[in-house]
Amino acid sequence: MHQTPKKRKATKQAFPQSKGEPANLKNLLLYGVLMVLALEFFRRIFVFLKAGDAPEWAIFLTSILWGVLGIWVLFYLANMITESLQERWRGLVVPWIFAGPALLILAYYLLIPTFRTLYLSFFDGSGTFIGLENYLYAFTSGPMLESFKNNLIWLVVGSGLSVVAGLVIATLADRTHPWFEVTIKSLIFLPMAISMIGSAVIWRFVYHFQPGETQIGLLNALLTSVGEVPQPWLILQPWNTLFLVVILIWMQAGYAMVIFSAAIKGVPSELLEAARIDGANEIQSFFQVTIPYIRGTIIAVTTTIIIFTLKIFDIVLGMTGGNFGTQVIANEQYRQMFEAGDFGKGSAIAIVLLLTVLPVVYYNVREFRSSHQKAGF
Amino acid sequence: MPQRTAIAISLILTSSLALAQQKTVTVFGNFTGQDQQSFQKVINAFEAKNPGIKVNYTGSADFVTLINVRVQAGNYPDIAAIPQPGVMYDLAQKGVLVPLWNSALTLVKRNYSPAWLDLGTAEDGKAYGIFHRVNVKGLVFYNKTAFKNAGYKVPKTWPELQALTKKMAATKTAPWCIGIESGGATGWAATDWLENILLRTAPASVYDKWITNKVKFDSPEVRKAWGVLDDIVTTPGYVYGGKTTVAVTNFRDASQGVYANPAKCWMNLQGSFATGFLQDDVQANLDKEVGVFMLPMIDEKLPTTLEVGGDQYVVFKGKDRPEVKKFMEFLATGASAAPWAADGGALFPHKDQNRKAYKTQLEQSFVRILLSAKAARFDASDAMPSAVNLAFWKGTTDYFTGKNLDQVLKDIDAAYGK
Repeated sequence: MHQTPKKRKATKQAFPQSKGEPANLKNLLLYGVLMVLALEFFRRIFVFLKAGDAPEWAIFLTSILWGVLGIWVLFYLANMITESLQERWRGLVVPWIFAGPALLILAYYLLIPTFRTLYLSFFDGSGTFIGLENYLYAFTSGPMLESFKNNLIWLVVGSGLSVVAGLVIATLADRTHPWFEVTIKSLIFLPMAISMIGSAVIWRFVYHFQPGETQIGLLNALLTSVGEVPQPWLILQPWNTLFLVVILIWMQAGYAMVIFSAAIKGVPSELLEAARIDGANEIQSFFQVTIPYIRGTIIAVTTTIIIFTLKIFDIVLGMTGGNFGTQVIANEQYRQMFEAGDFGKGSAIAIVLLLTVLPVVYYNVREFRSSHQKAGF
Repeated sequence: MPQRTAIAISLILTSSLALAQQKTVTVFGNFTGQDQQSFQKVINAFEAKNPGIKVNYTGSADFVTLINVRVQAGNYPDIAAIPQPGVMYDLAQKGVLVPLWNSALTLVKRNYSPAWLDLGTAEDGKAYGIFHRVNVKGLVFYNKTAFKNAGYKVPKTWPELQALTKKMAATKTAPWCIGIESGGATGWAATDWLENILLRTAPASVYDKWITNKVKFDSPEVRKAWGVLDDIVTTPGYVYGGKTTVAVTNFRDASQGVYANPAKCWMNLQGSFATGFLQDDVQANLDKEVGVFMLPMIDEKLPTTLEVGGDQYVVFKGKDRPEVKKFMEFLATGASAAPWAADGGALFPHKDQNRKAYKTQLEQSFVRILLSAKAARFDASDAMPSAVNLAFWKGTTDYFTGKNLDQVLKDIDAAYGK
């Protein structure tokens, strides 16, 4: 990126008193000491907040002050330190002042937990080193084999149908009256606004079963109204996993639809016209022109939904708690880690989950990069 | 300008730090809703006696999950009310609990039967827990009016119960309502059935060995107990809705089935706490509508042993401040039981409690059963390690949805690891 002369002037104005003159050592020392004091002060407040003994309002007030004013004080001091530096050094330091905190936070919340999880996965529940035994459990135990099988069903049926349904709806809606298109798309997109666990609660009512005459579950009420026998949907193996997958499709098809819809509208009409002149019918031009044109979008949406289904958790927890043969990897991890208190097994399963998601993420990033290169970014 | 700002900031911060020095006791437990309101009355009674100390209670239905997370994060409450001894043993083993100090220990020895002290003692031989709200399990609830109208008598022996069950099955109403659905804890109600049957078919020593994994799930004794349950649930017409629907029927709905109109079943096995989730109109007339008898002994040569459950309060490491100790000692006295007893739905094991505080004769009879029991055992699944408890819940659920019993027993035993 080239700096315009105007911008360069602006940068100089921000640090007016140092035009290549030697570092202002007195100032540097003063602000350095202040910085150390400030950091120590904020650390103490952090310790106080973490102890959590104080009344709620005091914690509330302190954390706001700590967050807002703390950042301001730290930035002010950091700025003063850079200003006391020689210009040569300043260029090296400034990027770190701005990007450093973000990198630190990223490392603290993402990298360290990942490595800690990996570390924990070699210990059993009571903290004894057991090597790869947890991984043996993660790949061979009954609940985990069941989870792998179910995750595969979620992946193929759930992601597949979400994408296909989204694509079909987007294509068909594109050809209807705008007023109808907007209505139908809003309705289909609506479930996206509901949290996963909220959806689980809603669908529990749909699948509700009780022995006896009266059925308050939607599906069973429909069945009994036409004289059929009500079914305990959630324990009907192996179909019950599919009944749960339906909820995912209900939620995700709307997301796929919106993105596809935008992409389809971006297909140049000249291309479609040309195809028609060449004698292609609707189906042919859809597969030969539209699909290749929006290929990048399809990959992005599919990989996003795949990642989403691989770590599926809330729906299973809310509907069956992993009982009746519907267990999935993420739920088994939660069960081992937080319910059984076995952080070793839980961590090993988390790592397995991470490993299954990684290739998808990698593919997504690679596609994203190559499509950007093509587009000339 | 910066100086003035700095001064203002430090002033606000120091003042909020200074205000934090108030004497507060934080308690974390698993009772919510009505139970939480009743416990708040216990707290109010304490605060009235001890001005200057404030007790903050937080309750969550996911207590066991959250306490594990909080311990892992080093973010302890002062006191936790633990519903499962297994969890207490785990925490004690991790070294995050404070053993009972002398004055508390003396109080517990004086005010409780020795069984409760044993249950509050971890594997290292040190006592950590003070029991407060407890319950009695293995009670069969029936509809008094319906029993009277049908001319049924309360069975005193197992053959009498079997004969009665058979007679009931011939009516349009099923003898038993069983429901084990309970969200993430689905299955616990079925473990209560098995534990009560085991206490009635095998000596209590087998039960103790079962808890400590010296008797396996796949053992003749446990298989025999499971067989008794199996006979009940697989006989057509014995359970409302049949065997598989048990897994999707909520335990509360099952309890209400006895008093529904028309009645869904004649009897329901549940703990004394069931009075808390019966229909409102039934709760209003507990003594008139609700009849209860103990599930009879199956092997009559065995002495009667009561199954009990309950919450024990423990203090976390570094939190044994004087005000925390004071609240713990208050919980060990009958005075702390009265406010909750008056609200109903809970029993207390304190010897010095006022039995008149319970408003219904039904609850007073529970207390009689509780305090006069010669032998008592804690809910076995809750006393097992958390992982086994979970596997037991899941195993019984699998059993009701049709999994082969051999496989179920093998799965649960596998939860012990090597």
